[in-house]
Amino acid sequence: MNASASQIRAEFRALLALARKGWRIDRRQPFFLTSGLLGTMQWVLPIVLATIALAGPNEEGLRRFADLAGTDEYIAYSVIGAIAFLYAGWMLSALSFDLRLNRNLGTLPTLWTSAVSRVVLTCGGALGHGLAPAVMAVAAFGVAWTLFRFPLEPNVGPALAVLVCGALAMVGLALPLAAVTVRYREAHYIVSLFLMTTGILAGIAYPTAVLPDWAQWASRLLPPTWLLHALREALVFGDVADAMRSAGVLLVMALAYGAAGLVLLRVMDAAARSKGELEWT
Amino acid sequence: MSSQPPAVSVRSLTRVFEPRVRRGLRGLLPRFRAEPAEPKRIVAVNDLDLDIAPGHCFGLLGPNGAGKTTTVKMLATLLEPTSGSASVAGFDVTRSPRQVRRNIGVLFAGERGMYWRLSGRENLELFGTLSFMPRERLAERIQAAAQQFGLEDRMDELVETYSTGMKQRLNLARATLHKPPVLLLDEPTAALDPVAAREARHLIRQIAESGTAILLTTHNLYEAEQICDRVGIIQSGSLVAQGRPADLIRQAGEMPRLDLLLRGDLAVAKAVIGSDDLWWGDVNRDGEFAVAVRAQEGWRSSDALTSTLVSQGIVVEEARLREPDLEDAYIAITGSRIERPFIER
Repeated sequence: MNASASQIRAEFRALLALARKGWRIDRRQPFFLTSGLLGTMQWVLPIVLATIALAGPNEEGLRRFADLAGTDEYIAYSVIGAIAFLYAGWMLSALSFDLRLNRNLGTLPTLWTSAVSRVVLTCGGALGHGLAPAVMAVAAFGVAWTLFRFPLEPNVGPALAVLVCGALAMVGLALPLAAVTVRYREAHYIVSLFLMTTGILAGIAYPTAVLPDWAQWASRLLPPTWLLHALREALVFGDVADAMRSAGVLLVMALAYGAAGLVLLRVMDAAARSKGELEWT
Repeated sequence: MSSQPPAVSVRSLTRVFEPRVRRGLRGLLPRFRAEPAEPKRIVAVNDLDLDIAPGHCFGLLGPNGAGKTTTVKMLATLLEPTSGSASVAGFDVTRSPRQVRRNIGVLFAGERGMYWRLSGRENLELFGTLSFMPRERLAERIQAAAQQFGLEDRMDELVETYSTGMKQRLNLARATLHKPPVLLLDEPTAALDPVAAREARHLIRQIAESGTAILLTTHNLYEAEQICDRVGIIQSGSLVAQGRPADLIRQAGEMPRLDLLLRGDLAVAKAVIGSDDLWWGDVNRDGEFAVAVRAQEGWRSSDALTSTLVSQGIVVEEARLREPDLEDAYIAITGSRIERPFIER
C-alpha cells in the first residue's frame, strides 16, 4: 500500500514537473504569448461582428436566434462560445500534439525511456502548454467585455468548476488522439480535422438546434458543446444548477474518454514497440 | 569477466523487421508514404549473446546499419525483440519494461535529449524528477553532477547557449543523475570535436569505474580501445567476435602495418608493393602519396620494402612500422579495408 502510494506521489510530482517545463518554455517566448492573445481576438472579433451584422439594425434578426438559444444576448453568447471553444481546442491540440512536438525536438526518446508512466508523459507537458492559453483566454475575455460591454452574471465559483471539469474532459478526449500519434506520424492532421469538425458541432456562435438531428446527436457526445453551454449558463444567464449539471456531464466524459485513451495508449505503445514504429532519429 | 552477476545479459537476441504488406481493405487505400516495390525482410540483430558486468564498459563496434542502435533500442525497451531474451539490472526487457527503465540511463546518437529553452539545472531537475528521485537527493546530485561534468558556472544558463561539447556533458549528467546501474550510450562522441570527445571518453571511463555497467556503441575504434573493457564486433546484425581489445588483436593474428609516405611514380610503387590489401592515398601537389601496407612475412623489417622501392626510383619520405591495434583486428575480422593510413599530410 505504502509502495503504491509513494509511486502515485512520484508520478504526480513528475506530472507537475512536466507541466512546469511546458509553462517555462512558453513564457520564454513572449512573441508566442503576444501573438496568442492577438490571435484569440482575431478569432473572436469576426464571429461577434458577423452576429452583430446578422442581428440587423433593430435586432429584428434576433427573433429566430432567441427562439433557438433561449436568449437574445447574442454578443455574450458568441464571445463565450468563441473563447471557450478556442481554449478547448488549445487543450486538445496541446495534448494531442505534445508527443509530436517532442519527437520533432528530439526529446521523445529520452522521455520514453524514463521511469514515468506513458500517460503522465503524454499529459504532463500538454498541461503546462495549456496554462498559457488559459491566461490568454481570460485576457481575451476581458478585452471582449471592454469592447462590447455585454451583460454578465459572474458566478465565478461555478464558472471555475466548469472550466476545471471542461479541461479534464478535453484531456480525456485528447488522450485517445494522442495515443494514435504514438504510432502514426501523420495523425496530427486527423486531430486538426477532428478539431474543426468539433467547432462546427459545438455551436460556437449559434445554438446547436440549427444543426440537423444527427449532428445535434453527435454534438452531445463532444465535451466542447457542454463546456460552452455550461459557461454561458454560469457567466451570462445565471442558471447555476444547469451549469453544474453540464459540469457533471463533462466529468463523466473525462472518465469515459480518459479510460478509452488509457487503453488505446497501451495498445498503441505495445504495437509501436512490437512493429518498430517508435523511430525518432 | 567479473564473478558478479551481469548487469546486462543478452541471449540469442534477434530482431527482424518484416516487410509491411497491405492486406484487405487497407490495400485499396491510397499509399501515404513511399514504399519499396518489393519490401524486404530485414534481420537487424541476429542471435546476439553478450554479458556486461557491473563496472565494465562493453563496446559494440560495427559499421552503420550493423544493428548497434537496434540493440540499444531493445535494451532500452523502445523495441520488442522478435526472439531471444535480454535482462537489464535483473529485469527482463519484455516482461518488466518499466523496471528496466527505472534502472537505465540512455543517450541516443543524434538526439537532443534535453530542452534547449531550459537551463542546465532545470533540465536536470526535470529528468531527475522523471527518474523518481526524492527532492532533497536531487538537489545534492545536481550539485555533484555539475561539478563532475564541469558545468558549475553555466548551470543556470539556457542550454541553447551551450557548446556541443557542453550539451553532451550535460546529456551524460542527465543520463547518470539517478545513478542507474546500467548506462546505454549510442555513439556518445559522434558529433564532438577531438577535445570534447576526449573529455567525454574520460567521463565515461570514470562512470564505469564508479560501478556502472555501460554498453557503448561506436565506430570509433580508438575510443573503444581506450575506454572499453570488452568489445564486440557486430556485422549485419551478428556478433562476429567479442573479447578484451588485446585478445581480439591477438586472435586476429594481424601482422604489423607499414605506413609509408612516398614520392615518385605511383604505378611503379604499386607494381613494387604488388598487394591489394592496402590503402592508397591520392597524389598531392608535391607528388607525394601515402600508402598503408599489411606487412608480409618478408617485410617484417620495413627496410626490405623501402630498399626495393628506393631501387626503383621511389623516394621514401617516411616509413613507420606499426604494431597491430584494434582497428587492424576489426578490419581482419570484418573483412573491411583500411580507411586511412597513419601518415597523412
